[in-house]
Amino acid sequence: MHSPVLLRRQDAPARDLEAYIASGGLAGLKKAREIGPEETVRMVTDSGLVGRGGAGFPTGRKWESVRTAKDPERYFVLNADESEPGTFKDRQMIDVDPFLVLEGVLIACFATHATRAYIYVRGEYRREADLLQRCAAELGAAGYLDGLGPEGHALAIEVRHGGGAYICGEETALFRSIEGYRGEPMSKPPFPTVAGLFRKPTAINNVETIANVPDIMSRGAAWLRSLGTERSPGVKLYSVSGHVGRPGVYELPFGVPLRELLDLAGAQQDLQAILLGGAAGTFVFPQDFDMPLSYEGAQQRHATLGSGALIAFDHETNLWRVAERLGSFFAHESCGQCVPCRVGTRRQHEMLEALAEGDGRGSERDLLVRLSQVMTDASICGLGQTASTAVRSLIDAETKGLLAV
Amino acid sequence: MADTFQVLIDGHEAIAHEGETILDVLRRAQVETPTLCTHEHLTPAKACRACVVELKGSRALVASCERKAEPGMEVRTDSERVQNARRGVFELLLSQNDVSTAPALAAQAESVGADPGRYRGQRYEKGFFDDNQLYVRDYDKCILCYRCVEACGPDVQNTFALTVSGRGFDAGIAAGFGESLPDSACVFCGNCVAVCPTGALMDRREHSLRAEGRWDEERYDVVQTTCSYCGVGCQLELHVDRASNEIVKVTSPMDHSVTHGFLCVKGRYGYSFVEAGGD
Amino acid sequence: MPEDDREIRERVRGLISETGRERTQLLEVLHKVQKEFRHVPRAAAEAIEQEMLVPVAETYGVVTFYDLLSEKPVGRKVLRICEDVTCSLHGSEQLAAQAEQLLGPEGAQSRNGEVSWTRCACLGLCDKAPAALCDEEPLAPLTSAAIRKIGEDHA
Repeated sequence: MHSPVLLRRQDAPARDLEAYIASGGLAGLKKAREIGPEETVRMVTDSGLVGRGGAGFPTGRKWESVRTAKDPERYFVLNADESEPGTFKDRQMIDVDPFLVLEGVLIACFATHATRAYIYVRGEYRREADLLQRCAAELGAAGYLDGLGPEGHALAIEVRHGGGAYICGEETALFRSIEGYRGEPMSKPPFPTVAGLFRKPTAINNVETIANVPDIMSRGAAWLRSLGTERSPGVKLYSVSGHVGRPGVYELPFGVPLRELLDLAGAQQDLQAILLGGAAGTFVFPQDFDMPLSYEGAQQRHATLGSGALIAFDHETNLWRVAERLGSFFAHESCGQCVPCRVGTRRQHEMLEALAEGDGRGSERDLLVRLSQVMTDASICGLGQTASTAVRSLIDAETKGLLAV
Repeated sequence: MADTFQVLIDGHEAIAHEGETILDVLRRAQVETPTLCTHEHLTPAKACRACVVELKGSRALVASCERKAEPGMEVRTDSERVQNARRGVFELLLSQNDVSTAPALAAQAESVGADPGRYRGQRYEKGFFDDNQLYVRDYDKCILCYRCVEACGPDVQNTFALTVSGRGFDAGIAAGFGESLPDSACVFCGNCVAVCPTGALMDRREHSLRAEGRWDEERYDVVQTTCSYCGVGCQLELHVDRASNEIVKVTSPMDHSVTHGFLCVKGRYGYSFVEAGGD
Repeated sequence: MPEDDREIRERVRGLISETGRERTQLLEVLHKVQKEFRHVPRAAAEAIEQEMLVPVAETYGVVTFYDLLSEKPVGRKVLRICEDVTCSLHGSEQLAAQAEQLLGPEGAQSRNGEVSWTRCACLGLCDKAPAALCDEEPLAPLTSAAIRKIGEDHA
């Protein structure tokens, strides 16, 4: 039985600094200050930590390019714009251990010489934003931000509130939103580490990613590698919902079979399927429930862990109706900037509506596959590029006769 | 020369200059590339995705109008992926827009082999706005290329009367808060009209003549002159009906060193005095 | 009753001075405007243009981009009902239908301007589905009784 790391305080949340320090908090920051920015980044790199937001980019590499950037003005951004349907692990992470998250932010800012830290919390998470704001103030009052800012000043941490737009979880759209604009994604390259927020070198990490950092510092890079698999070191948070007996957030080391997570969450034995990775994820059917939950394990089955969201469906569920909901989500959340996504998500939703109602013309499946290719290839950002991933996986499964309804 | 380098286009070597976009290189190499949103004097909006190309090392296709050429780049425009994506872009546009006044768009759609009936669904119905004396806005024809917003804003006019509003399929061009143009910051320079690629924005004169079935470009001569209103020296192209000797439209050449195709309200619309007679 | 435009501009100027005049504060300012006036009126955009140098049209573009901001007034209390996958498995559509019946058409203010409701994207409350947000407070699981109570208290 795995004893939780990131969620170790979930039974006794440390929402004030005193309690946090009493339970071992801030040891990671202390260690970072002892060894300096360069060694700090090296430890994060050595730990093999990769981004938990969905893209899986090595955190240490991101930090190193910002640390060594020429421009003295650079930023750290915490991406707490958790909006992937079925995902609520960052909310829980912040709620049970806000200081762990903030300690990670401080270490990141120290390691990258950040001019300022921005914490972008989705607008619907007011309580969590307020909590982070209060805890950051406590850290400041206790002097823990001193010397972390430019030229030995105290680090400034700004909590920003999202406006209610899924696309702002995309990093370049998030930057535009902080800057005071419509959250329309920009092209990459240039990547954020070169030209991010205010076109300055920027390190941006997801909440869950950053929560790993304090322990990497205090317990060592090898510690993270002692958990999980060789290619996916560490632990992962999963948001489990749908037709399960115990929905909630679960923490497991990478490599544990999907079946085990389903059992933990009290899923019935004969599920029809799950949606893994959120709206931009894929449907996974029982024949693949032995899949090891790791980046490489998912990839082998043409699935993706994405945000770690898992929605379970029983045999009564019409999966085309589920797909219709996904289609509606993407059509609503497309920023509208590029043609393949703006028009494509609408056409996709229209066809999914017809299929969910059972009054399709018969040509929808072929056309959806065709449209999917256009959206995947030609859209500006990840939203349009993945808006048809789940639909494609559903069409594949239907061809194989895996759908119950 | 230090500032030129080689790139590979569809397997052939081509010369690129420092600072050029992939599209610049494609055009010089005479590789036919469809474009809708990009404009020589405006920031690339990379929104229409008609000009996408395959770039070695890049997972998704890239907009050639925006991406700068780099030494050793390997670009493909002739792959099935590129053709399919371009066709898809035009098919999606044809499924939502009225393209009756966008011959260039229609021609490009045909040249990439787009099937106008491929996708069906809700059309783009943003309405017709006739709220001033100088130009009309038919947003059913708008493909959201961002050109008008850029021309009205930082790229040319610095008036900022227009914005993209809303999100997704409901996004559209607006003056904001339900305003008519006369109530907005609009100065009626008509530079948005000059850059609109689909006829969604149209001078009133042209719109009226079209409505009466009397618009016929075959009958118009283009007369070059210099605007007489002030000392800047803007070059005007007067589109004159040969038969009636009436001016039907005023533009300025996009390659003119003073205007770059852009005018003010007087130069573009202040021509009725010419026809007022001399007595 | 429509507020006097001059008074709105004055109050928005106050919100701006307590938040910051830089463009980067726009969303924070707009959140405060939305909370105070239940929408972002044109007069607010005018004050923003004067104080923050953001054109009126651009503010409109920003307001219409974000779901939590609106250019038209919403109710004093706003109920957002999640319509995404997990919540739809747990009956969110029936709850939305009920909201329509008890609180009026989606997006519109109730007769006295007290309440409005809308469907919304995933709220990250899927473990307590079907979920809703009542102003800033999670309401999950949302029940028929809760909607009825909102209706009785405010509509």
